[in-house]
Amino acid sequence: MPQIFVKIISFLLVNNHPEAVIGDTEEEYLERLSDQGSFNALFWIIGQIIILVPLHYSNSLQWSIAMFRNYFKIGFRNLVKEKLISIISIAGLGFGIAAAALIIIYVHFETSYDKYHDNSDRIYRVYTKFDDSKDNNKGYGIVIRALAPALREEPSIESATSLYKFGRDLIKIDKQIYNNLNIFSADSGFFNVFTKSHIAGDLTNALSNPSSAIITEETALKFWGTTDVTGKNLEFISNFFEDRIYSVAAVIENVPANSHLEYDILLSHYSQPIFDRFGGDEFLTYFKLQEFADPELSMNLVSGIFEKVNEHRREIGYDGHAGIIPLEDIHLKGSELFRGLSGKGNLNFVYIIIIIAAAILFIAVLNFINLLSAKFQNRFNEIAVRKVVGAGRNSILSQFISEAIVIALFSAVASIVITGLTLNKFGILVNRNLEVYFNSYPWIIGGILFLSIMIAVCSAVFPALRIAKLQCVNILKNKSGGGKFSRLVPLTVMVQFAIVITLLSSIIVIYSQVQFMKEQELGFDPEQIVYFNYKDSEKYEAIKNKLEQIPEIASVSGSQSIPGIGKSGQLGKIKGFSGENISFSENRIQPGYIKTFGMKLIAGRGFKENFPPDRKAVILNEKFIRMMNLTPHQALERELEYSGRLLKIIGVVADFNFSSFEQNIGPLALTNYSDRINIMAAKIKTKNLQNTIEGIEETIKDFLPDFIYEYSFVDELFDKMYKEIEINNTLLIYSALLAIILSAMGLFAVTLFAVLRRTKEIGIRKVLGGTVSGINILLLKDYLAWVLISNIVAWPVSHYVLSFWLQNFVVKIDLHIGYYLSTGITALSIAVITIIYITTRAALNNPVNNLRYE
Amino acid sequence: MKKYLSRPEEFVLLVLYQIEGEAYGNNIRKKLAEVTGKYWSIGSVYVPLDRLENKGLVKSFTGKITPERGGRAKRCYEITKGGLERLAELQKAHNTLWSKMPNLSFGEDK
Repeated sequence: MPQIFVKIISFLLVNNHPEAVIGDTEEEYLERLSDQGSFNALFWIIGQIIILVPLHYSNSLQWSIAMFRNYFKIGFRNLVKEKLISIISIAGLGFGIAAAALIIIYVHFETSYDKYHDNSDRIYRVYTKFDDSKDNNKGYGIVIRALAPALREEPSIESATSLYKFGRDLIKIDKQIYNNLNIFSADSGFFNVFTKSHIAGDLTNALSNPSSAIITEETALKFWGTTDVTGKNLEFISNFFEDRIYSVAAVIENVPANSHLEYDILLSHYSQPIFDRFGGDEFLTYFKLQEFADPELSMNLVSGIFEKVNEHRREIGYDGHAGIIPLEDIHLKGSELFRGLSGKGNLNFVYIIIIIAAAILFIAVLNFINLLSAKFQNRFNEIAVRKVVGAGRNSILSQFISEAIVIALFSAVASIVITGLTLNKFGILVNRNLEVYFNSYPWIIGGILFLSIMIAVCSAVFPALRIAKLQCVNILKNKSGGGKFSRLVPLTVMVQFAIVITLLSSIIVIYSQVQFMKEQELGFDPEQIVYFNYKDSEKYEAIKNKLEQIPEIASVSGSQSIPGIGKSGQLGKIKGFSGENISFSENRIQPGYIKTFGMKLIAGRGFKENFPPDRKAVILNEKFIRMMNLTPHQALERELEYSGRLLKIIGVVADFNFSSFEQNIGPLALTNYSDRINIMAAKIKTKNLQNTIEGIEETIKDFLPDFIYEYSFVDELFDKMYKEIEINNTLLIYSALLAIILSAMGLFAVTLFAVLRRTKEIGIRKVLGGTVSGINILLLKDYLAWVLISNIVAWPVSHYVLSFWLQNFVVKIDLHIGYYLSTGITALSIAVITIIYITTRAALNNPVNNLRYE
Repeated sequence: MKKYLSRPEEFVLLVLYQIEGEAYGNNIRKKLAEVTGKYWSIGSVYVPLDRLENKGLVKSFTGKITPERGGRAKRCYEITKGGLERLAELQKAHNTLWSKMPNLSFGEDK
């Protein structure tokens, strides 16, 4: 038999008796050679070799598993031997991964908004912008009603729909009143743009019937406890719209939590005749492009249609243009679509939180690397023995990597548990409903396991390589060449503390900024003002007078809107002003408004009660006057001209904040020509609000027995605006805390190892008269210098980032060195406390014990 | 407790009993191929043989060195007393079980 076959067979053979087997083969080969000829014999031997190949590999796999089992066992024993260090490394990595997992879930949720619709990438929303810039998603989220029907005519648009969002209107079912519902009216195009499956009833033409309503499953259960409710009646009660009875035409599936358009009830768009009189920007409009349509060209078409339907308004000075935002972008990029539905998310915050997750993970991984190298370093003898017995470089490498995997698997289990326990609480913290992620829990577990193993392999590979390369003679002679690790360790400490200092200073600055904004003069006093919807203008005077007789009530006023709720837009200018018309906000108020809200008049007077000439008067804010290049007193002699009206300026009010804090205060006009009231507000003098609030209800019911009294407080409206910022802050604070704890843990473990390595040195120093503080200083100076350097790295970085962030705000704090100094000192003290704790413990040891060590 | 024999082990044990003279890898494989009608690859008989040896049913010894084998020794096997006893038990168990069965070789003449 040719020698080559013998070699191949003896390589592949996984038998206990290679000699016998090869002998057998040789014998059979020769037999076949003589019986059947050389070709057949060759064919046979090759066939035999092919059979051996899979056997060989399955066998070697089995052996490597056995070897790995040994590595895992040794790894586990090492874990148990150094309990404190093990717990620190497992917990550190576990918390780091759990934090990263939660943040990834949050980011996934934030970016998943509205993607559940079929072909969501072809759905867009039209908004109104007031400048010529490209689509910057800034403007009014609403448009004219005629736009949607006009869009539907366009062949490259599959469908379009127009929606109206009702405000504080109510639903009454069998004398039971439901509030806080998201009620919309939608036209028949709604289900052509948005996909929704129905649970009961029929969706086709459901919205075309003027008296039909569609409700979600959740709402049906809330109202009637069942979803089999088609044909049931619900009564729509409004202080502004027509009260009307609708019958349920269909029940549809619930709106997912990741939808920017949240509705409980959809009413037919054709049910409120008053819509026909809404000539202005009042409606949300969505459209879906045809599959073949070119988005770029279609956008121009939409702009053209927008111009056409708004043509008649140009004459009266309308200056809006079409802006288009993709449906999927609304949540994260649409926060500046004022009025209508704006996006609740914040793209910048999503970026920030991703960076923070990466930073936390990075800290945890650095800790892990440090701990691994320290652990490996203490085991030179074991490695040397393994090498002497015959372990190669690769097997040492795989031993250490598998040991790292063992630790990482413990961390993975810890982080799976932590993620599971905190997901719900985290959802509440970030004000998002993350419950849907409980269903995808296997994915989360898989992801965490994968991440942990990746981290383990990546962090173990470098220290393991270094160790595997060591000459075992040197190790056994105790000439360990571990110096290079110890040079790396302080560097990682520096990076970790730089991250901590950056996060800390960001938190302090963000916190100060929010506090600063809260303390900002609103321009009025929102405390202790109760407000409620009220629309009956006939009895307004009588009720107001009666209410003001209640001793606890300071003043009462009705108006179209109040600060924090919204305003309507107008175009005009002060007569005699040479420039163009400006767009300003208007609020129709009744006398007493300025007093109720505590606004400050800087010139002129407010509206007087029962004084007919004031019907043709107006009060402007300071901003308006400044834009007209007038002083407050000059303005008092002028008139305001807009929408065919000419109103005499009788007063100038100091600027006050009408809505969001990140916006500039715009020009505003307060008028008195209309009796249409939407809201009544009362300023209360005492702290005992409850009695007064009940008193108000009794008084109104004396006049209007059917009145539905639903009150709120003005200051709550303003608190709501901080909510998103505060959520973001809380998240930042928690992540910074975690980063600090992880870094301190890392420093703790690193110092512990350093002390262990120098046990003998400490003992000798003490014998020779060294003091505890002397030994402390010895170890402190190793790391403190690096912590100090981390300040120098962190300060410019955080200064740059924070200045960038502060540009978002109109009113902002000044960044000064104090913010950075305080965080630097905090980080330094954490480091000092950690190091002193360990070294003092070591230094207080009896030197005899230290020297006997080993 | 007695360990059960797998099918290959049982076959190998039976074949070993039937081989006259020196029983080693090649003639065991040939005999097996005759009985089972399936080709046994090189080395494949050694796995059941090792297991039988571990169970004490066969014992092995080093055989002659022949020139056809490239100067390599044969590994020969013979049944032990325990192996013979186990064969007897197996025969008894099989007979009891099979005696109650009708002829299942349909289409074949008796």
